[in-house]
Amino acid sequence: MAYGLSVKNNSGEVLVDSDFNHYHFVQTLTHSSVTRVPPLVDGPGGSYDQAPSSPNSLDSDQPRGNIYKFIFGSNGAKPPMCFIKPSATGGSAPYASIVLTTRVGTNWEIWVLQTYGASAPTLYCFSPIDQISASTSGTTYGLQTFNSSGDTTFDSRLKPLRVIDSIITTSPSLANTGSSNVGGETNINLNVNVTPNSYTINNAPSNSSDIIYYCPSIAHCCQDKRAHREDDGFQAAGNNSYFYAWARDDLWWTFYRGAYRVGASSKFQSSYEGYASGHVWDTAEDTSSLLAAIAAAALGQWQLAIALAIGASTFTSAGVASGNYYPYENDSRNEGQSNPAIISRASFYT
Amino acid sequence: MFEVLETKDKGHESIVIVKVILERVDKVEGVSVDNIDKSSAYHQTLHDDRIDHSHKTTELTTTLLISNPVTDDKVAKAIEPLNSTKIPGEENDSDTHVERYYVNDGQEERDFYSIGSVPSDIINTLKTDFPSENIDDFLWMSSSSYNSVLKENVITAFHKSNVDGLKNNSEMQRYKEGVISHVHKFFMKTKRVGTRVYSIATKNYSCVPDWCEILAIGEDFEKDQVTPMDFGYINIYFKGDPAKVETEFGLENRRGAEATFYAITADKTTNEVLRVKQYCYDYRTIFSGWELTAARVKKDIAKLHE
Repeated sequence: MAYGLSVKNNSGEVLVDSDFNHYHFVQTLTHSSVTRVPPLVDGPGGSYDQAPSSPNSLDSDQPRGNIYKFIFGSNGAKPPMCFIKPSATGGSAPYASIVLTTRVGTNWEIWVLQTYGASAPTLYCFSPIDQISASTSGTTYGLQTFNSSGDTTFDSRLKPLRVIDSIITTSPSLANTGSSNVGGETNINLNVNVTPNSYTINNAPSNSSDIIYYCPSIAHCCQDKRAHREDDGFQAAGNNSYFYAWARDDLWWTFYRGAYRVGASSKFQSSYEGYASGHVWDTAEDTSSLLAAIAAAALGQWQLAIALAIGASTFTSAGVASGNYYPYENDSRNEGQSNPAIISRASFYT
Repeated sequence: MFEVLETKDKGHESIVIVKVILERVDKVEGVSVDNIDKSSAYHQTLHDDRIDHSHKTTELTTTLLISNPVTDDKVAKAIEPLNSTKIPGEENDSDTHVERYYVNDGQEERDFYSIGSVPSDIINTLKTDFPSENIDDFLWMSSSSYNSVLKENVITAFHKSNVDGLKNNSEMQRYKEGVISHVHKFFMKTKRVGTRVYSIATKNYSCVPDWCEILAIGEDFEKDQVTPMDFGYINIYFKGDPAKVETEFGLENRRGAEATFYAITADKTTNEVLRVKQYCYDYRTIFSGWELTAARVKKDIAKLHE
């Protein structure tokens, strides 16, 4: 380096370098709105002699997290780094992650997905100096660095981002495993129940609620559960006796995004949170009081017709274009990719 | 019982998609039996002899995360909790009553019971007043209800012999003409036994608003007679928007959680409404599917006329 300044710690890691556009604290943000992805629920209604006519809604154990929208005013086109300060930490804390950072007009819009029912998180936002117009008036001491163009790249008066740890994370292979928390009257369960990946936070403060993290969501996962029910036979009911055959197929699904929390013992934990959920179904039934119509010899053919009606193509005509309810089945993407989490402390910026 | 549909290796663990057979139950006359071979002569007999039976299957497909290597034992252990999973939406088979109606000539209510749930006082009264009747021959029976048109109490019951319906030509001919079902009527004051025959309606009745759908009519016969008695009235069974029906006929707000239907007893000559009944089903029962029954009979009749 023919000019400028480079400051390293005793491990040789660069702390300040005049060639780097260091990120500086801009502001804390509270959300401007909150929403959830609407449930996708569809299937034929109607009454049936024998076939079940329900359930016709999402199951109570299909998660859909809250999506908090934050608006960050910026002077430039370089995206901010927004750290999440969770509303709670520990073993029952919600999972949260940034699922979208996008330029909207002169602002940046940041979406944070978080477990439904928890208090909203706060964002701590950082940008390079050339993206912000923070005032430094009144303070006449400290350290500034400049690059070869004379632009300020570091200014100690603007609270540069201080990292206490960085962690390479991955995500679990699935969000839900059907082997737990299902049974009895619990019915369909697509809640996140997988064991999270846990990481020690070095230099963690004793007060875990002081921890803020930057770890945008890159992993996702999509899972479904399907139920198939069928029955046929003869119902004796006076002159109203009849032969019947019916079948009903249900498909419950949830699409998850990778999400994080500061768990018990200040462990940084990687798991998932439900982003969108749906339930679609189809039913076929035929009844007749006439033996001739459903003679045993014809029964197989009749059942075959019903099976074809609700077979593999069942969920392509339930009112949603092309049956594209979710991107893939029972798998995850990017779950094994190294996703760095940058850890800092909220108290550095107050 | 399970079947592994697909395994996806994720390194130290695998995603296993598995279909679990939660229920595969065959029943004959309500009793669980060993699985029935549908191609067997026995199954044919169940159909030929109109024996109540069913073959029910419930399967659930789910996803497991299993440590490698995946084995059947690991999968079996993982799905243990699933074996008690209930799919929501199973019908309510409550046997307290299979039908309840309210009548506007005194707001009396009447319940219909499966024979095993009929209150003993009803059974005892029938045995006393109609000693020649074998109560065990009935499948469903109502409580006693005052009929202001007939000016006496009536108990209604379905006879077991009805189950044999449509096995002989005479029954088939009646079905072809639109007869849906029939019941015994026990007239408690006059000690008579009559029959009410329910048929598909073939015309409109001016006493029923045109925004309602008439599903059936009921005509009364003396027992074992083939010509309706001229009681001077007819019973008309229909469905309609509950709020509008209640307003039209000055009825209380009474509705079933599962279904609500209505019946009018009308003077055959003047079309005067003599009596209105509100049938309220809070859960699906053998009696609650009026529309479905009417639709099925119409479909069958069309086949018979082909």
